[in-house]
Order: sequence, then C-alpha cells, then structure tokens
Amino acid sequence: MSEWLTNWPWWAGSIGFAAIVLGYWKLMGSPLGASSSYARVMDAARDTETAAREVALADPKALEASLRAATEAEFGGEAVPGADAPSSGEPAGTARLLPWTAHLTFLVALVVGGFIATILRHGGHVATADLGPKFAGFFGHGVGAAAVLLGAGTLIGMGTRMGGGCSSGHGLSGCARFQPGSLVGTAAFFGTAVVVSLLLERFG
Amino acid sequence: MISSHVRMAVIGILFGIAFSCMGFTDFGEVHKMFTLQGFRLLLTFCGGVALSTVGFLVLARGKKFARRSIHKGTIPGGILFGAGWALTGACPTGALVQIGEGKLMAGVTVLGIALGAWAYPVLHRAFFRWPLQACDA
Repeated sequence: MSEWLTNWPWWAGSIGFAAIVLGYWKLMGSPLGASSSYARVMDAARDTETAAREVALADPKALEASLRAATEAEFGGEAVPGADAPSSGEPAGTARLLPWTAHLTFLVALVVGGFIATILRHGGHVATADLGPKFAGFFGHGVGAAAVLLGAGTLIGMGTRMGGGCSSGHGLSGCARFQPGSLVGTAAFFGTAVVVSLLLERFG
Repeated sequence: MISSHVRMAVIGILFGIAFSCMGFTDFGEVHKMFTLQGFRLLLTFCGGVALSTVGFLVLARGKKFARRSIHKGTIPGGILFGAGWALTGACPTGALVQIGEGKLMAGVTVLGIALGAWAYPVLHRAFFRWPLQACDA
C-alpha cells in the first residue's frame, strides 16, 4: 500500500542505519549490539540473584545508599566523608552498565517496531505462519522448517556469543569504529553466509 | 533507571521500523544479498557503516570505547552465526522484527537464539579456555 515503506533505496537505509547506530550510542552511552542484549537477558534468566542485584545497582541512588550503609556498618558513621556533598555525576564518556531489564525492553521494542511498520505499510496487520515463498521453497512450511529455524537460531545464539557480536554490534557499530575483532568477525559471518546461501541455491 | 528503559524502548521501536522498511526481515531479499543477486541490502549495510564512521569521527573525538579485539572465538563464532543467518534469513535483530511483522515462525528462530545465548557460557566453561569477551553494552 505505502510503497515508500517497502524496500527502501540503499541510501535511505544507510542513513537509517547510521541514525540508529549513532542515536543508540548517544542515548545509551554504549555501542549498539543486539546480541549482547540477548546475552544479558539470558544470563539474567540463568542467574536470577545476580540479575536482581544488577537492577538494584543500576539505580545510582540505590547504589550510593547501599555503599554508604555498608561503609557505616563496617567503620561507623564518621567514616563516610562528604556525605552531604553534591554528586559530581558520571565522568564524561563513561558508560554505566544498563540493567538487564533495559536490554529486555530493547528486544521487545524491536518486535513493536516491526508491528508498527507493518501497520503503516498495509493499513492493517495480518499474521502469516511462514517466512515467504523463498524460504518455503527451500524448507517447506511444516515441522522440518521449524526444526531448521530452531537449529539455525541456536547457531546464531551460540555463534554471536562465541564471536562477541552480531550484525549490529560487530557489523555496524564495530566496523564503523575499525575494531579489529569486528572487522574479522564480520568477514567470517558474511563470508560463511555467502557460502551457505550459494550451497542452498545449488542444492536446496 | 526508568529513563534508560524509555530510551531503549524509543530506539528499539525506531530500529525495528527502519529494519523492516529496509527489507532486512525478508528472507528473499536477504538471500539475494548473500547470493550476490542483488546489491541493495549490501549497499545499505556498507553505506550505514561508512556514515556511522563519519559520525563517530565527528561526535566521539577523544572518547574511548571498549576495544573489540580478535580472540580464538572470533572466527568460529562468526562462522556459526553466518550459517544461522543464511538459513533463517534473520540476524538477532531481524528475527524479533519478523515476529512483529506477523511472520510468526520467526518465534522459533528467536527461541533458538535465546537457547544458544543461554547455553553458550556453560559450554564455553566446559570446553574452551580463552576468556569470554565482555559485552560492550
């Protein structure tokens, strides 16, 4: 329906990517990286005690209060110098660790973004089970296709953790800052994706 | 603390909308990029990196970032991820945006990504010796 919301020309997409990469960094104080958000959320699911502490410590006032209480308990009230001094704030350029719940919010927001884009594009929303004719041509619609997605999804989850980034963390924000691990990682995942896709095309 | 959630929500929604409009959530378009039958998405990606480089040079002058160095997991991890991306047509961002678009099968991809991200540290401790790189974010 709204053609300008479908398959943006490359230059428009490039501007969009750069705006997101730089906007994320300016807003959050750390480089964009979707796989690290998955990692933080799944680590929180595994270690709920650490996750709860992390959320508490993400609030600077709560952190300051807990540190002060611990110091007073150990050394007495007089051992807390400058207790009434105004906070000097964070040093410039220092990224404070975001709580895992903020990363979960980011992941859910990506789903919402896809929903809004579809509403804007079609004037409504229709759920379809499969991933389009090309995917169905390779893997069908049924249990086999789901098994491929589950297995390949697991490869993505493990690979991005093993390699330390994905297409956004390594590919966009890492390569843009000439990070060696990102340049090599991007070459590895892009090269492999080309080979696997060509094999699919040949034998799929 | 609340505001970091609001900021994450805003940037995530905008990223999701843009990612969908670019066509990075369309298996056919992604497959065209990887089989070099179409260069639109590849140019989108490269242009995005180039513009971001300029942006970082201008906006982040003198600021220090956590270094992403090459380690023993960089290449094997990239190979696993690349294979997964080619088979699903989705990177970790794309799989979530696909669900929002109504491509409900992508939920299985997200389940797999979450499973892999959950299991990897356990496997790493059991089989590998190099230190896990701390995440940037």
